[in-house]
Amino acid sequence: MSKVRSQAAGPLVQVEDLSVRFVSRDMNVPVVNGASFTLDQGEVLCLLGESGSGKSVTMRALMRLLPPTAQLGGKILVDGVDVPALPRSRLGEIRGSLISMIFQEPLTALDPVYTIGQQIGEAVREHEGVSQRDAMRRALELLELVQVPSAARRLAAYPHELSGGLRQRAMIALALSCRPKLLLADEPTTALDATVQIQVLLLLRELQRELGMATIFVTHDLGVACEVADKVAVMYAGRFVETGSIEDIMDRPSHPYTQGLLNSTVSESDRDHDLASIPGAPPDLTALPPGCSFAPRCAQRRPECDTRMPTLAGPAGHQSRCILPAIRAAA
Amino acid sequence: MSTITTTTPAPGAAAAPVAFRRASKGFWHTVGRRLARDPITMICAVILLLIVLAALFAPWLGLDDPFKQSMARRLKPFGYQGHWLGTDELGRDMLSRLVFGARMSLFTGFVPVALATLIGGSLGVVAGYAGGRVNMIIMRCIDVFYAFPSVLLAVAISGFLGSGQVNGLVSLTLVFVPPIARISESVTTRVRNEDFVEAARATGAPTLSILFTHVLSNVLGPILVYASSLISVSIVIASGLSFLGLGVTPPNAEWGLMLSTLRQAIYVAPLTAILPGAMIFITSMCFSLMSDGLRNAMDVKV
Amino acid sequence: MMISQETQRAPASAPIGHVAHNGESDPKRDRGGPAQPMLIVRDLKKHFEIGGSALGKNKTVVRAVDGVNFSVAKGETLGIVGESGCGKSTTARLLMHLIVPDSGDLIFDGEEVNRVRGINIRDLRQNMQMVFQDSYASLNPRLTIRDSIAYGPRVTGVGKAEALARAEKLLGMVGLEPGMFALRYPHELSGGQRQRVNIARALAMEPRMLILDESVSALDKSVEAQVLNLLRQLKRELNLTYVFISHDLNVVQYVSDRVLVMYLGQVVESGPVGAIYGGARHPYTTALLSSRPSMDPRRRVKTPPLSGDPPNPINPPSGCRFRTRCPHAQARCAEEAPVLAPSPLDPGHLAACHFPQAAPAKAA
Repeated sequence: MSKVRSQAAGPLVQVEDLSVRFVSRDMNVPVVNGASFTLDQGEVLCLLGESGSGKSVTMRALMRLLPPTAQLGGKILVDGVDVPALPRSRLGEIRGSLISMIFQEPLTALDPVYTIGQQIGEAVREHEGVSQRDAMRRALELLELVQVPSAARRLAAYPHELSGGLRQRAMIALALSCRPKLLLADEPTTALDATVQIQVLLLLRELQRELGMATIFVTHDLGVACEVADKVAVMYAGRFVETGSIEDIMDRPSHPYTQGLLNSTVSESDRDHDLASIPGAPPDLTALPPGCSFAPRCAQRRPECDTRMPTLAGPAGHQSRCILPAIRAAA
Repeated sequence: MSTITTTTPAPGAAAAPVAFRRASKGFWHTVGRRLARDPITMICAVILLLIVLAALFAPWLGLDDPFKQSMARRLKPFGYQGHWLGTDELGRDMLSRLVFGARMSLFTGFVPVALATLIGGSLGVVAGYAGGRVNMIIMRCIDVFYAFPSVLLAVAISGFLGSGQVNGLVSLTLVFVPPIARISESVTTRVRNEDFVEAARATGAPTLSILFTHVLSNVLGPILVYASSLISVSIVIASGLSFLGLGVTPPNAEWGLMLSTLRQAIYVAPLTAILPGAMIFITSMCFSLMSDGLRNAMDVKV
Repeated sequence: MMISQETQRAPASAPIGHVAHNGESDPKRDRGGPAQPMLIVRDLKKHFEIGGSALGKNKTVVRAVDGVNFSVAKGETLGIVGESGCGKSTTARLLMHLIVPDSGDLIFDGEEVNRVRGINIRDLRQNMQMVFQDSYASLNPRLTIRDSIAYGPRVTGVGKAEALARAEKLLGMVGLEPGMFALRYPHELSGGQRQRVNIARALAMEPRMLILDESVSALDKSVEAQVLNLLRQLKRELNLTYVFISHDLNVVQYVSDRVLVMYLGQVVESGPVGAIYGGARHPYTTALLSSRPSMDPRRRVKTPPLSGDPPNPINPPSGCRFRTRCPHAQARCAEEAPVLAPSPLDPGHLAACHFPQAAPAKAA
C-alpha cells in the first residue's frame, strides 16, 4: 500500500530478512529474526513493540549503529547503498548525511562540552565542507526550522542550559542538518512531558512532510503511532507479527498480540472494571518456544500454534503472522 | 497452562509448603565465578599465591640463614656453591633473603592498605551517608592530607616518626586514608540517593541498620577494587621508604632495603642487583592486574 | 484479608484497615473515625537552595512545593497529575516525611504529624508507605527478594520467622509464586515483576495508605495493565487508601476517584475525576488534557495546545504562575495570585483561576 510520493524508481529503503544476533562469551541471543520491509520516500513507518521486541535494534541496524557483539545478516538497501557491505571506514559518509537519527534522551545524545551551534556546525562542515561562517548560518536556519525561540541566542547555549523540549528540538536540528533522506527516531518523545511531547510530534510530522524524508519511528505508545505513522509494523520477540496501515492496525487488528496491546491501553471507558491485560511476560529470546512465539500468552491459541512458526500472510497491505485470520476467512 | 509464564496475575496465596529453588547465586558468587574465568587474573593469582606461601612458610623451607654473612662469598653469581640466586654484597644467600624479604614487603604492602580501608572507608561512608555539615567537615580535613603527593607525605611522616617498621606502617596507613575516604564518600553518596535506601528510610529503620544492610553491601565492591589497586602502590612506596633509610632497617631483609644496599653492586653483579627490583615489580604488577580483573568481574549487570 | 492471622496479640501485626481493638497503643488504629480524612495537607512548602557561593550569597531558590492544600478521604484514590517541575514527586516525599517540609501542616487521621500531641514519624511510617517509580533502583541489588520485603518488618520489631512468612505471603498476593521468586535477586526479574515486589515491600509494613509515585510509568503498556489490575484488587482486599502520582493522564483517569492538578509547585485544580476530565475549569488542565494523542489516525491533533516547555520553579512568574503560557491571561493575572475557589455547580471542584471556564470545556 505504498503511496507513491516521489518520482524515484522503487522504494528508498529495502530491507530483506534482516537478522541480528548478539554474540559474546556470555551470551548468544537472536534479537531480530528475519524482518523485511520497504519504505518509500516521504513515508512514515512506525515500529511498535514493547521492551525486548527488537524494534530499536532493527532500526539501528540500518545505520549499523550496533555494539561490536552484534552480527548482522540479511539485505539492507538505502537509496541504493548496500549498508551491510560498506566498510567501516565509509560508514561515516552515510551517517548523518543519508541517514540520520534522533534519540530518546537528548541530554546524553548531545555532547555536554560543546554548544549547540558548535555541534550543528561541526556536522554541517563535516558533510558539506562549507566554511565556519556558512555552517553557523545554516545552524541558525535549522534552529528556526525546528521552532526554537530566540534561535540566535540558543546557538551559544550548552545542552544542559536548555529545557528538555528545546534540547530535543536541538537534536532534531542536528539530525536534519545534512538533509538526510531517511530519518530514524528512537522513542524521541518518551522522556518528554505531555504538553511538550505533542509539540515535538507535530513538529516532526511537519518537518517530515516539508522535507520529504522517509521516517522510521520506534515507539511503544499507540497514541504516538496514531499521530505520526502511515504504516505500522508490530514487533514481538524479534519478528514482525503484523504490518499494515495505521488505520488498519487501529480498526482491524488481526494478530492477537496487537489486539491485546489495543485492549491494554487505558482509556476512559474502563473505569469500573479490570483492564484486559495480556497475561505473562515476553519470552526469553534465548529460549523461544517452538512454533509461534506469542502462543504461550495467547487466549486464542490452538494446537497448531505450538508446532510451526506462521509466516506473514494476508492481503498485500495488511499482513499478520498468525494462522487465525486464514481460518476465520475460510470459515 | 503456559510453559514460559512466570507470573500469575490471579490472586494467589501460595501453596502451604513452599519449596524454594535458588535460581541464582548472589553477587559475590557471580564475581568469583567471573574472576575464575579470567586467565590473566588466574595467572597473577597463582604467582602471588606462590610468593605468599613462600613468605609464610619461609622458616621451614630449608633455606640458608638470611642473616649469615660471609666476606669470602660476596656477590657470587647464580648457582655458586648451592646459592641458586647467588649472594649479596655481604655474602648472604639471595634466594633466602628474597623469600624472607617477601614477608616484610608483603606485610608492609598489605597491612597499611587494610588499615586504611578500615579507617578511611568508615570515614568516607559516614561522611557520604550523613551529608551536609558532617560531610563537609570530614572531607575538608581529609583534603588537607590530599594536598601532598603520597610519596612525599610518606617520607615526611616517616622522617618525623623515625625509622622502624611500625613507623613505616603508620606513615603508609596515613597516606592511604585520604584517597580511600574520598572514594568511599563518593560511592556512598551515590548509593544513598538510590530509591532503595529511601525506601528503607521510609520504613523507619534505624540508621545503623540501613548502613549495614543496604549501604555497605553496595559500597564494598568499588572500595575493595580501589583498595586492591593500592596494594601495589603500597609495596612500591614501602620499598622506597626502606631504600631511603626510613622504614625497615638493616640487617632485616626487605626488597627495598636490598635494592638500596645492592646499588653499588650494579656494575659488578647486575643480575643480582636487579633481583629485588624484579620481585617488587612482579608482585606489584600482579596485584595491579588482579585489581583490574576484580573491577572487570564486578562490572556485572546486577 | 488479614496477612498475619497467627499473631494477633502484638499491635505491630494488626490487620490492615481493620479497626483494631488493642487500644491506644496500636499505631495503626483508626484514630479519627470514618468521616475524618485520612490525610489533610495545609499550606505545605518546600524550597531548595542551589548554587551560590559557600558563604550563602547568590543562592537561587527552587520553590519546589509552594503552598499546597488538599485532603485525602479514607478509602479513596487521589490522583495527582502534572509535568516536570510541578512538585508532585517532592510532595510525595514530603508526605512520607522523607524530606522535611519548610512550613505547613500534615494531619494524618486527625492528628498532626511530628508535633508533640500528634502522631510521631515512626508511627506515621507504619501507616503510610510508598512505591517508587524506578523498579530497579528501588530494590537493593545485594538482597534477595524475600529479604528486601522482610527488611521493613524486621527493623520495626517483627520477629525474623514471622517477617519471612509475611514476605512469602505477600509475594503470593502480588502474583509472584514464592517458591520461584523468594530467593531471586532483582536483576533476574522483569520490570513488571520488580514493581510487584516493590508493592509487596510497601505492603509488608501493613500500611493503611500507599503513595504510588509514578509506579507504572516505566512499564510496558501490557505490564502496566497487569499492575494496575493488581493495585485495584489489593485496594479492595486490604481496604487501602491511595495517592497515585503520574504524568499519564489516562492512567490517572482510570485509577482515581478525585484528581489534583499541579503546576509549578501549586495546586491549580482539584475535584472529582469526572468533573476534571469532563469539565476542566483551569486553562492548564484543559491544555494538558488536549495534549493527549488522539488515538485516532483520522483525527490527528492539529495544533499543540501549549507552546514552550514547563518553566523552572526557580523564578516563577508573579501572580498566577501559568499566565505566561495561558491563552486567556489578562492584566489581573499578573498582579494577583488566584486561590483555589469552588465551582458554583460543585463545591468539591476547585480551581485556582481568576477566569475559570464556566461552561464545561470538552477535553478532546
